[in-house]
Amino acid sequence: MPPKSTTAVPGISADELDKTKDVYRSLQEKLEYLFDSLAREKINLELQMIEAKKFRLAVDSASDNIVITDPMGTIFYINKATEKNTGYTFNEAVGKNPGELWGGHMDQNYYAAMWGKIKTKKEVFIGQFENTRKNGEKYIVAVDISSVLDEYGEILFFVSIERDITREMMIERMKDEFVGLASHQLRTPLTGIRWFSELLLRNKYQNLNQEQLDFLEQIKVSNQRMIKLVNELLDISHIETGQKFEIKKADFKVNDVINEVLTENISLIKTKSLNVVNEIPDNLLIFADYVKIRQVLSNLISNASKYTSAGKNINIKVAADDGHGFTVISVADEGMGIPTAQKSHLFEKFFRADNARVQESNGTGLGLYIARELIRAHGGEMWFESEENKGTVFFFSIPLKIN
Amino acid sequence: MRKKILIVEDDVLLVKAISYEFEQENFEVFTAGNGEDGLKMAEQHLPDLILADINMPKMDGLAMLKALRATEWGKNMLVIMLTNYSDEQRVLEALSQKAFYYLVKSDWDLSQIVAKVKEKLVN
Repeated sequence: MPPKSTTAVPGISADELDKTKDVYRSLQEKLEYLFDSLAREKINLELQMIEAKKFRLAVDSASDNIVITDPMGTIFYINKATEKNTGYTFNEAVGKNPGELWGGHMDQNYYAAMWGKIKTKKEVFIGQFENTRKNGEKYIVAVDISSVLDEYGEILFFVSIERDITREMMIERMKDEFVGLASHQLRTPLTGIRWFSELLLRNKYQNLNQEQLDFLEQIKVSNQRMIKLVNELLDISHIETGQKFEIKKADFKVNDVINEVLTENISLIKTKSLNVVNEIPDNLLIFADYVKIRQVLSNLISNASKYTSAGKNINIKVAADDGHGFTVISVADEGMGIPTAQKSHLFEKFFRADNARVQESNGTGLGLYIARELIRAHGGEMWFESEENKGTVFFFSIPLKIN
Repeated sequence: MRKKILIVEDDVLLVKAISYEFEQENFEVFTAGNGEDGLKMAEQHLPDLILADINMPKMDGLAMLKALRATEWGKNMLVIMLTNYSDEQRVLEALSQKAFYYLVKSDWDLSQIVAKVKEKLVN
């Protein structure tokens, strides 16, 4: 008997064959599906790799040093800028701690503060490090270290971005040295002009006529302006470099300073017939740096004399006692006042109010800025109240004599 | 008796102005152009007060002050630093060596300097 079907496989029924075909088909479909998703996954991965490569390339070729470490501080990545800047290659750096390579030269407390910030608080640490290159050369970097956290807030790694600021620091230092040297060199001839014009102005032998004395007075005024300029330049350089003013406190009478400053401004006060009323009690003692308070009062009183209209008043008094060992002194002028729109800029460096600029073209706009810094260095504060066309009152708080 | 003052300063013009002023005020004035000579003059004349510059040849004012404080006769001598340096480091060094004033020359009139000296010598 011939077979029932030509497709028949010996020993397997047609039914069984059909079932096997179905299984095969379904398997094939599944495989095709899997293959498709694998292909999609492959494209995805490739895209991610391209993306990662782009990031890697960006980090690799960034101009700042980028160092990535594990939570223990062991380096697993440095970029090319770091290799160039430190002299260590990628392979030399990986697996090491920055302290074994370029770091470890700062005070231990400084590193402790850094670890506290990035590891305990998980905040960004911003600071400066003095490090050493592989060739032994010292360099300074401004650093910014942040901790990268996982979804549970655990530290995955630290990323440190560092910029070599050695050159900037050097320029800054040179600028300071220059300002120091120049001001010292300028002060010597300025002293000569000051002292000799003072001697001549006394006109002991009365052989100078009034006009000649007036000319001499002008020499003296110009000389004082230059001295002030040099002093301001030094003060600004001091503030800019973040140095604190050294305050040498002693007890002294406020009125001793005020009288000295009034004498300095006497010719302007007389010329403009200004009425200066000093209501400060003669026994008021403050605990402060005499020279610096003289500088502050000299600024306030000379401004008041400059801007008060002829024949009007300047009033100096104790405005308040804050009850916490500070007294508040005020210097009030009857000048043009500060335009409302410009009030917030008054203590800014180089700022001069428009109306002041019109009236008096000379002036650097540094005096008040420095004066407030000097008062703050004493733990006090300086502020003002002003009404346009009426006048301005400057206030400053200063420590009283300790009883 | 006239008070004796020693001026240690290397700028001849400034010496001229300040000596003139103190002579007018009836002081007996001695001068020296550097710290080394200043120290010798101080030992020789035992002035009531020394006005000393800082930046000078041979021995600067701070070195002179330090040397002065190391001597028996000079350890309590009244000294005012009169200089055009105003950096903290020099000021602090001078004050730590018991200079009782540190004055920046260009900030003071001669009459104010005399007043400060007199005030110290009267007390």
